[in-house]
Amino acid sequence: MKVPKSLQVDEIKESPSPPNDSEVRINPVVRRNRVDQVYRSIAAVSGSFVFLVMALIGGFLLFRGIDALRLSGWGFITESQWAPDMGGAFGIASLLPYTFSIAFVALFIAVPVSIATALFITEYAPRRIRRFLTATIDLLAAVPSLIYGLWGLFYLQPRIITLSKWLADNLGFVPFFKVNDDFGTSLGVFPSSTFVAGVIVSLMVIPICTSVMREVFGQAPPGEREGAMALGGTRWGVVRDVVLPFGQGGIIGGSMLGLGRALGETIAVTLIISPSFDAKWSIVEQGSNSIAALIALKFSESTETGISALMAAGLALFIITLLVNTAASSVVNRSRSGSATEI
Amino acid sequence: MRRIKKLLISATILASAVTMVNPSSVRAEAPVDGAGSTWSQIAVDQWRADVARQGLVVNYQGVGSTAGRVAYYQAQVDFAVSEIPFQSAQYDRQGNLLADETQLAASRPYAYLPIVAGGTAFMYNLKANGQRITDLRLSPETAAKIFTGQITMWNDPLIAADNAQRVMPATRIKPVVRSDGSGTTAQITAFMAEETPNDWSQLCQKANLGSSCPVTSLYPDFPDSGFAAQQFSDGVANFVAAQYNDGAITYVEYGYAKERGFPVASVKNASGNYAQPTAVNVSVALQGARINSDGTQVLQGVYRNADARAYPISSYSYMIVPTTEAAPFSAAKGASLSDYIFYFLCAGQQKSEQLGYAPLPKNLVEAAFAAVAQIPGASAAPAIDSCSNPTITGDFLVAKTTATTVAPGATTAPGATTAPGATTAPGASKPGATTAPGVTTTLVAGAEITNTEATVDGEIAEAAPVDDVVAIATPGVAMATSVEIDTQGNGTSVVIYLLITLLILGIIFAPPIVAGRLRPSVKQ
Repeated sequence: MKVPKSLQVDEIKESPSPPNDSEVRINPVVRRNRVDQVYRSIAAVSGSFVFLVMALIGGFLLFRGIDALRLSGWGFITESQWAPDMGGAFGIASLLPYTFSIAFVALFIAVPVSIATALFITEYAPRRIRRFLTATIDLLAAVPSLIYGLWGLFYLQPRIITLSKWLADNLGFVPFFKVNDDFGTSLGVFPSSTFVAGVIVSLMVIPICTSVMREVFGQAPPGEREGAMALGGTRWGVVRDVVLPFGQGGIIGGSMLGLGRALGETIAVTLIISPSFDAKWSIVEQGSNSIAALIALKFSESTETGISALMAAGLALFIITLLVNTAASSVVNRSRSGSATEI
Repeated sequence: MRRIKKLLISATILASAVTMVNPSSVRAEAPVDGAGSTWSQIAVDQWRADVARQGLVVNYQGVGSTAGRVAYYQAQVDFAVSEIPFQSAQYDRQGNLLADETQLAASRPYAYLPIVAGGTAFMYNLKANGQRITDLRLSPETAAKIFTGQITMWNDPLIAADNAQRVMPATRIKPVVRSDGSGTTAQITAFMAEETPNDWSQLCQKANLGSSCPVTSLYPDFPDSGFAAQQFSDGVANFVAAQYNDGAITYVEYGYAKERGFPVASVKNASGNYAQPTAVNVSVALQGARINSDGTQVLQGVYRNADARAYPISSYSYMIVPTTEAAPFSAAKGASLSDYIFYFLCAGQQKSEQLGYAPLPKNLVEAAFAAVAQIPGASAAPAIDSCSNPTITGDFLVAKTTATTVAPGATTAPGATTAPGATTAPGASKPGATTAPGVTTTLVAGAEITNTEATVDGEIAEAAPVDDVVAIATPGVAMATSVEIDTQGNGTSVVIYLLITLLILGIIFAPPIVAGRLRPSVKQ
């Protein structure tokens, strides 16, 4: 959990760390001998290694992408087309909105589900099945994203487009669900959309959000909890007035961690989406995109300019993820449970 | 299974027999490295595996055509495989030079040679009154207009003109293209750029790339196209096959449509017939291929081949081989590389159809032989008549009617002819092989080659040729090569799948259980 989110742009392989409550804290040795000093310096070097790796990644992306950035100039931010391989213009103006809309759809589903799951595990579940539930959620995080992608492609997509159609038919006045089809809404308009990709990414985000939130909710001060109980509060009252306010930082932290993963999710998105380069409001209509998926799709057949352009897009994603995480950690640090979320 | 086993055994016996007679066939060969096309990779990998048994190590990485060409001129690999030749100078809209591959590659002289051939099929999913249409016909112009977004309805007059035999439904056309870089895209765009330049130019303009744009492995995207894009041949084929995608059409290798039981469009050729993209029809069409003085392909003769069977959208991918000993290449590597090339041009081509490609016809094999001669250290090419390529030995291209079963009985001598067991004459079967004095080993066990009638007289080839298992074991030309058929019984694969499933379940559920047993008193 202490790895900066920026390094987890692609995939998070390991499941979150085990609960802290089983840890035994050992008091530090006061007297410092040579062994101790050596150990300290090794630890310090290892710690700063993280920064080095991050700087190297950023530097590499900039180094490889600078040619393309020079070529496109400001157009890199304003241009929505992507044709660097054929001498055309290229830019991330359509990629960014699509990348974020997939991530937001994912969070829109994942955050409520995660909060509810975490509350159930910490507050409501019988003690006996609590550990089983925790293990199961952590297990979900260990499933490779390719598996989610394949499941989404072959099982979920043919079924969920019926829901997309229902949304378009009944809530079509909302720009997100509007479909521009002069033929009426046939099912063929809905596959490979932001919505389908977002739903699948949400499945990958849920375990991460849940384990962060569960950990924080579990740390709600027992004194306040018992106090609320003593005043005659119901269980829900305790959750509402003690656990949730205390866990605010954890909720934000977990969501942001999820956002980081959702922004960088590659394989599942690549399998689902039909890349589109004209940004649109509708999330249910076919056509979506994401920076990570674009890189995966175009990399093998790109010319040198094309690869440079992809690196520049990767740099943009890297910077955005850094900004998102920095903003999140400053929010989290101000909240009461902030120190516990380790974001 | 039993047949395959028998085959393997006889092949092994043969290989050892040949080895005894001709000890020079076992050499410590210098390994060669290559990179490039993923489209050709299935064939390249199969042939690598075949020659590996003779101690000839060929390494290959399917990194994509473009990356393969770059690796070639950066001298990272010995050879590259690509669907398109080195691209001439490209400029962006401001006139800045982007890249000039031909110039970059000039530092490492090269020759092109044909390696795998294949046709690009139009797989579609279209229903009229609840009935699946299976007899769609397209002329190249109509197909180009569909894939450049100029025709958007299935009942468009142009499509109706090609399909006078039926009433086309008023369904929206949903063209499906490849979202990743692909050799299939390179082939279809090369076809459009050559045969329907106006339509191709329209696409370039829509995509904001100027009035003309180069052949590409990445399908150009344009705003409001109504196109869908999916990853991999499997991806587009599955997408088109999806129940909800009525009206979808894609370009994909024929095998992917066949696998899913979906029809592919018959495409109009120069003789006015509508041909299906079968291996035979592709090989027939490629007989019209011409080679430029620089080794690049001129496919007009293929696209406009007047043979009634020719499938127009046929092409082949290149192997780019060095013609100097500049590092990392060497004469020793040249010997290994030429042996590999002679194997796949001749014996290796027998597997083409089975692997989803079409065998290279004689004219291209000859052109390839000429290119090999430029490789430093290359072995001498075998006589063209002793090449066991099915288009040369058998009657692959002549056989256009009825199924023929071939009797076992191909014979061979080291360094001499081998026979794939293709015979023709309907009804009559004969051992399709030459017998040379020397070692004689019975080889081919009941290989079957089935060709259904190709479309002649404008009739639709509705009965697509049945996919058949061609089991041929053949000794190679310079090397003794046993050809192994990689088919597995269904029973075996079910067991393997079960084992894998159990293993995965074990990996998932064992750790928590074990952990729980080991420390039962963890407080929660």
